[in-house]
Amino acid sequence: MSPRRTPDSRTYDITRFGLSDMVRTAADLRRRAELASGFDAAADAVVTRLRECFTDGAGPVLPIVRLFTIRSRDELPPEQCPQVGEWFLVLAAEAGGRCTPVRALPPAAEFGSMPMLSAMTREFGLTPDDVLTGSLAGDGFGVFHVPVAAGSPHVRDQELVAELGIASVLGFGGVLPSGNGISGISGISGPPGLPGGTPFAVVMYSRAPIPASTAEQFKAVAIGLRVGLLTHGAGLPAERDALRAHLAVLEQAARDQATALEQAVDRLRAEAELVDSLQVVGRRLTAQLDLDALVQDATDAATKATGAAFGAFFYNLIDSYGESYTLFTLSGVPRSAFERFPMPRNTKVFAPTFNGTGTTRSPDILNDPRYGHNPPYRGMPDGHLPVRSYLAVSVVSPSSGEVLGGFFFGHPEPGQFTERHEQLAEGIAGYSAIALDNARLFARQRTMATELARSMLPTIPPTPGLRVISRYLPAATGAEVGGDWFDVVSLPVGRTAFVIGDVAGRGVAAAAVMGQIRTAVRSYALLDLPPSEVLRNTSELAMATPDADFITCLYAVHDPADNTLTFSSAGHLPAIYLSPEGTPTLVAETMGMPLGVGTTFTQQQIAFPLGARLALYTDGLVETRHGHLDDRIAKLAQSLRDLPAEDEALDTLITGLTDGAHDDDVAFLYIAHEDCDSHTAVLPLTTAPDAAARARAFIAARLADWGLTGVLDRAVTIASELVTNAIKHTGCPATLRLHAGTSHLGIDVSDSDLTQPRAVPVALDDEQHRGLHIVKSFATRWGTRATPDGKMVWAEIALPRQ
Amino acid sequence: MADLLAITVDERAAEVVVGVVGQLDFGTTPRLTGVVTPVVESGRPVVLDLGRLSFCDSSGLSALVRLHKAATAAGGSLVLARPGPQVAATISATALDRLFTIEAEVPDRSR
Repeated sequence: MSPRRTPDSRTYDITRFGLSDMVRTAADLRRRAELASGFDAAADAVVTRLRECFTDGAGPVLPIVRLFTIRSRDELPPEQCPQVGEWFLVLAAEAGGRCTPVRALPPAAEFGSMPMLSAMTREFGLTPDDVLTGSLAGDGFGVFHVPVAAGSPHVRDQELVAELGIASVLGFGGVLPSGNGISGISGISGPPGLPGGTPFAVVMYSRAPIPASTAEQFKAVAIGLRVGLLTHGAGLPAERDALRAHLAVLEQAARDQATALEQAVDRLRAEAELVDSLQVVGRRLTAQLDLDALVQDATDAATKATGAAFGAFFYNLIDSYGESYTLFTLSGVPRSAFERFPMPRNTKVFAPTFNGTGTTRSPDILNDPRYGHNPPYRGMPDGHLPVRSYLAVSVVSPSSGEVLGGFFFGHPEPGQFTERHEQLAEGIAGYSAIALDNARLFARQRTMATELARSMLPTIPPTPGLRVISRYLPAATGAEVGGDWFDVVSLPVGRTAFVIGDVAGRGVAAAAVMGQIRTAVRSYALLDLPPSEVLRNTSELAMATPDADFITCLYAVHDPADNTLTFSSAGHLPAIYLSPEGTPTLVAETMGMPLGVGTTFTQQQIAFPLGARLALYTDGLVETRHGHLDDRIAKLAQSLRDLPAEDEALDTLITGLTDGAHDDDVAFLYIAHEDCDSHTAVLPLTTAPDAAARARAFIAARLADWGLTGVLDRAVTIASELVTNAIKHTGCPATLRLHAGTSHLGIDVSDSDLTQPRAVPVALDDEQHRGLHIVKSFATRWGTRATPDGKMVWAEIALPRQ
Repeated sequence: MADLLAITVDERAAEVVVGVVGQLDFGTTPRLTGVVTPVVESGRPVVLDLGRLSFCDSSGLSALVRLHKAATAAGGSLVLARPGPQVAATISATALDRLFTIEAEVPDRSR
């Protein structure tokens, strides 16, 4: 029999049967049952509808739907009753199959031979005896779910399962309370007043696998159907009770669903927060290159994220000797809490973390089989913070696969760490690994860059009378080598050249250009060219050097014989001269364009008396994003006023100026003229025949004063030759200078002749050209150099050590 | 500085002994050559007593070379006697010890 009208005709997906599906289906089935003319018609309508409302492309998803009741012999027409039995399983309606209409129920002991019946009975809160005696409490209902029908002991008809491709079986039903008896079953009413009620069950065979969530929804369908079926038999009070029960179930289902939804929302939110916080931590960690800050940050973040009482991060570093050592950071407890304990070793508990074989999470480490096996403590040492919940995660380098360290989390209560905490800790460990890797690579790179830069630094030669302090600081940010350099070159007769320069740009290219230019300056310096000539030659070289586009350089020569500084500059920042009173003056400004650009360079000479100081520097020291360059130079000049020529003072000054955050390299030369055991003397020469004799007498007198008579013969012989040469070749007055340093005596004679003297080979009986041979053999070294108005010939005699 | 160089000539024996006292440089050398050149050109053996010559530079050495060549050309000879340390050093520095005949003492053949 079909219903008189169709309240609902939608179809559903049995694999995704939701709350609204349940509400609609329960209402629909109830309505169809109510509208039916009798119980059998209601049953028929229900199974037909159920079969229809789940379809897919291949037709009905439920090939067979059956509705059973259990009846006593009294309730059945005699012709339907088998010979044996008092109670019978009656097929009230069937859609899509052919089932034995009436079967006798087995005795209680053998109820298991009808497994579905047996299971459903249990689901309805009944015992086989209840069923077999008819003493049924009238409000039971339930669902019986066989997720995998094939091979299930609950589905006896495996042939049917195979034939129709049944994936799951779902049964649902309940007990109809007896009122005035169930009517409409083949026109026969059960005897009124029968104790208990009538169980009914719908059994659906499904081609699609029915998930547990769908099965759950059918509890409400069962009770909805029960209400519908009650129309046919039970009295009004029973119907009302059933309706109330139905409502209660619906409400409960709605509540459960709402709770589930809330939990889902919470879970999603937590998930989003997890991803969020991981991302924040990750971004922060991976942007951090300072190792100390990084590990502490990671430990704090992970400890907070896991809700641990305290967390520790042990990590390995390699020292400059290649030895590995372990450090740790803590979060949630002061460092003193762990200071007394040795580093954790590769015990059973710690091994997976240190070996990088996996995360260890224990709800209660004290009861963990791995715990407490290793001497000497056999567990936590005395005084260790209490740990029950334990979580440890390895930090493994993504680049090398090497275990960089491990996070350890503890909590005094058991069962504190969830899978989520584990995920969080693993996430942070992952980011930490990347960050540590970065920091280590960066540190290595930076060390290499610094080493490279340092290896290019010159050794400062002895500079008697001058205290020279030099500094080269690679940029505090970035790993690339810069192009700054300085150099100190010993020139003849106690003179010293000071060089500071800056190649624009960073990295290997700038460093390479710097190396070439530095060598060029040094070479021209050793040729003893005047400062302006050194820069002009270097500039021409730079023009022919690829990538040497913009190089500034300042070149200054100190001459102890007359205590002067002679400068030239190729677009470099001005040097700062400080008078003996400490008054700063900028010198060597605008003397030429940068190397590789300029071709003419001017030259300047200033006095450099005892107590005077000179500062040469590169722009890293004064150029910042804040402030005007001139102001910064003025500030540097003021800071230098009273700055002693001492390492510490200079370091403090540099730190103060750069704030330790200079993003360019800094080169600095600080030169102070200090008292030392040195003497100078100058004699203007005439062209008179006794000029050489006067020079010798002058020298004899000075050397006697200075206690240097040991080199008198050599000195006067050399001087005599130099003076004779000057007078003979130029016929002009010349100047003789003596300079006695701690290690040598310098003699030089300058004249206005530009011709450089040369020592020519002489035959044994040659009458001329022996002068320079004598100089050569009497001097430790000798040479000539150009002066602004002529030349100078110089000679040095090494002084015996005193 | 008129006393930079003093020259004495002793012609009593077969050899002429010339005493050179003071310093020889480009200022004083002309006086040495002025006095000694006629003596060596006479072809007689000449001894230059340098025992009291305190200084000699390359100008002095040039004069000595010139005198040596003149003596040889005249069939005579030139001996340098008793050079002091500075003079000996300049002579050896210029390898002239291979050219000159150098004696530690003034030869005493007059007695």
